Amino acid sequence: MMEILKYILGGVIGSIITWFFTKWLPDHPEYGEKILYYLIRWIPFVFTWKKRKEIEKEIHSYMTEEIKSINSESYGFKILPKGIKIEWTPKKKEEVIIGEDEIVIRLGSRVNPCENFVDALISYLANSFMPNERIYLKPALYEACKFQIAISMLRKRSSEHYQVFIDKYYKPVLEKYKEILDYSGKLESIEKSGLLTPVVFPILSFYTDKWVFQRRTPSSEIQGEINELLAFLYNIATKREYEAEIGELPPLDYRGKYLKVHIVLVARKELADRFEYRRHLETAKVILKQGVDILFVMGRGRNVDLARKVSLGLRSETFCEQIDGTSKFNFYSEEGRGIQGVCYAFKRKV
Amino acid sequence: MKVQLEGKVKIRAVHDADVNSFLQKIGLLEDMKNGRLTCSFCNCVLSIDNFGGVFKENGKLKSFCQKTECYLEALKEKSNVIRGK
Repeated sequence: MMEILKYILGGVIGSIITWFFTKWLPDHPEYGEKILYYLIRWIPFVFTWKKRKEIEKEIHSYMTEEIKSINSESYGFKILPKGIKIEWTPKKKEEVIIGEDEIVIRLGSRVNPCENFVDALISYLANSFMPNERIYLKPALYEACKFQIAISMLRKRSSEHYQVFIDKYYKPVLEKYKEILDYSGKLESIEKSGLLTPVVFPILSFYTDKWVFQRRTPSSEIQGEINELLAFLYNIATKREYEAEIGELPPLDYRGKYLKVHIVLVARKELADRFEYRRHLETAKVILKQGVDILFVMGRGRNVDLARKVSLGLRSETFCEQIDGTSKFNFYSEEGRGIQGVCYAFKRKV
Repeated sequence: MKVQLEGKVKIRAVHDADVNSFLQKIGLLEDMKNGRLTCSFCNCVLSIDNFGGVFKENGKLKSFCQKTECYLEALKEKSNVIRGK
């Protein structure tokens, strides 16, 4: 409907312009100079307005979708703020006032137009990505998380955007800061196995909410445990390598002084063959009663339905409650193929 | 204090075509023309071609160039301000 209206409107405006230049203007030559003056003034304005709109549209439409998707993968924990708005400056006739906490960046005609998008993404993340959680993280880990979320957002975009980000930001920063590089290596594997937005970020948000409420100050002890948690999740993400090296599957339970987390992987083959999903449900119940704060039930590929059954079983229990909805995510096989997975989060009732 | 993530994140931007008038309005165009405007991080002389943006620190306007490291430094400065709030 809108398309038809656009065509009609375009036709009408086109006809008026044609009539104006071919009929009206030759009949009123006295206005010619004035009209030419306005045309010269307005054509560049319309041209740059159109360019600005194009940049704005590209950034808004894609990022809004991605932000929604990441927040819904994280059970409603607000990992990213709702949206992004490009505010162009200077506006006509207005004073330019730059506040103490403001930055004005330059966008426009670049050698590679994808740079506008990537620059805006970096600026968006720099000032809005997990502002509460960052207090409890080592600065290098926070930077690595920010880069990984950018990669996760750009993975579904054209390879050109992804490449601009890698060449312009990722590689130069990682070459310079070894600590960020170490974290990024781990986070990359964690993200590819679908554990980043459905598990890592919700855990950080869950505990940050708790710590902020308790007025717990950040400490090296907390940072140390977060590092251990990351290593624990990295082992799960790279379980084949872990198994080959250690000779057994990685543990699914992490109990520290501050963080108590369990992951139920539905279905580890040795359990699924014999017990179907019920064994996982029983394990989850016991673990939650034992004092784990947050438990994830995760199923990938063919096990999605079994994971749903486990979560349904847990939902009826009184000692735990589900944290908002299902996280649907993609994990990447060794061949780089995206496969769907689901994850459910439960917290222990205090 | 917990930072609330409500609403949209505003990114203030200046388009290539408006850089001149923008610099004039914030009073930096003369300095640029005289070659006195430099990047706050790498100290290179700024021109219309390599101007990357501007931010305010302790009431003073600071400019930076288009190099990746300078852009990241500027963003870091700004997020530190937010963090310190």
